[in-house]
Amino acid sequence: MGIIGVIQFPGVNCEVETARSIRGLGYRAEVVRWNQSEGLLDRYAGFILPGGFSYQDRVRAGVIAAREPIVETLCEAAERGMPILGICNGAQILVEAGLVPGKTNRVEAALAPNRNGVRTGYSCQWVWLRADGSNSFLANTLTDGAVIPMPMAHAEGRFVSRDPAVFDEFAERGQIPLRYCEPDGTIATEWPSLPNGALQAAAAVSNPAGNVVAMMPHPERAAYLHQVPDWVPVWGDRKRALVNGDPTGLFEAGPGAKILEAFCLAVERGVQ
Amino acid sequence: MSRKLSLLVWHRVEDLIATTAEETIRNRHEQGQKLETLAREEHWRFTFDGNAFPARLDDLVSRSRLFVNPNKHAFRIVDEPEDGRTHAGAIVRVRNREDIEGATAMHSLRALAGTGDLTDVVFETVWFLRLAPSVEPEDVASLVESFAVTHTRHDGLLVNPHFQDWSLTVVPGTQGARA
Repeated sequence: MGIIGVIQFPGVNCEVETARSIRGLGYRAEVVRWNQSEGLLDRYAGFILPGGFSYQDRVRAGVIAAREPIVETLCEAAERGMPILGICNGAQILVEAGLVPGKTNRVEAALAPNRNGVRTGYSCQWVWLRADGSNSFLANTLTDGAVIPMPMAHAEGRFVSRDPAVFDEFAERGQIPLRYCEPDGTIATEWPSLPNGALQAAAAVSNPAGNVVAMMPHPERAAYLHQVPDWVPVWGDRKRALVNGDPTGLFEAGPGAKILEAFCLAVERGVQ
Repeated sequence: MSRKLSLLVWHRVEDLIATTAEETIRNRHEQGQKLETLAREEHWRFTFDGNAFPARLDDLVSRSRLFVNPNKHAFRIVDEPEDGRTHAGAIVRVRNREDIEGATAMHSLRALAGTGDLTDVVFETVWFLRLAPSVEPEDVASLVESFAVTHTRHDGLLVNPHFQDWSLTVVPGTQGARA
């Protein structure tokens, strides 16, 4: 199987744990610097844009990185059908580059500052996500209606568009593969279950072909059971049970592993 | 009757956000070499009744740390923000459609000022662009718009119209760098 390139823009800070989580699933991953653009499409079979604060979020989160030459390479990779996953700041870069939603070659959406009626600015918490009619590679491991917990941590994570109706279209076309929900799977409508006020409660948006996914929550921070807080239903219970038995079980797959494994399976299967 | 005051905040040390934006436009936009300088200010516009609020505003700005970091910012309080900064050829005002910063500032200031005089706070980021002398006056507006407004990854940088509103003012007599 090909190697997964985890792209390190200046200021991102999740590249190491993202690559480690991929390797933990048995796949190959390398951290790639943003200014290393030659031969990428020959060496790598898929790309992850990890979380962090590229260029210190100057002007708008992700917008400076979206102008880097390596993004043109990513666009070519996307056109070839190679899988690309943007996590948090990586999602912001994909949206500012116009790769997601990707209906046209234009920037069709934004990740606006959180709006939840409770607090402004940066917010981090665990949220519930529901897999929802995905046309994307996430369907490799997540069936429709599956509910998983995951941490989010951002200030600008509200998927919006000047024309909110386009998000209705995205939902109908399966381009919103993950939506914020209540623990029972009901789509979230208010804080804290809906942490940022995103249209269609979107936690992730894909391109029409489904090979590019931008998601705000952090699967690499939930890749192992030991990363899951005790109080998270089901997963926390499982962790506590393992602590009382074999502690090595703490390194069993957490809920975020499903997202990363879905991406790796897409890479393994080749272009979509 | 309602009155207004504006607080203008700028960096008295290097503004790295403006520097990064300037370098990105100059190096990534196909006409970026026509941008000579880019500067930035933050403008807060306060609407209020009575006299209690304006009498305390300077003190509130200095002490509250809501608007300025005294280590790097300077500020001025004026009746109206100025569009005539001599170095600018064009001014782009950017406002988030949902002005969370303004609403938050009003909430905080009302508590600090202990007065209900304050009725509205609006926050804007204001960009001042000076263009190369070669830019024809009739091209200034379209060029500045292409520098400022994000339609694709190849053009504007300062405004994402999916959540931000903007306005453009070409400063009379200062098109390009001719002033």
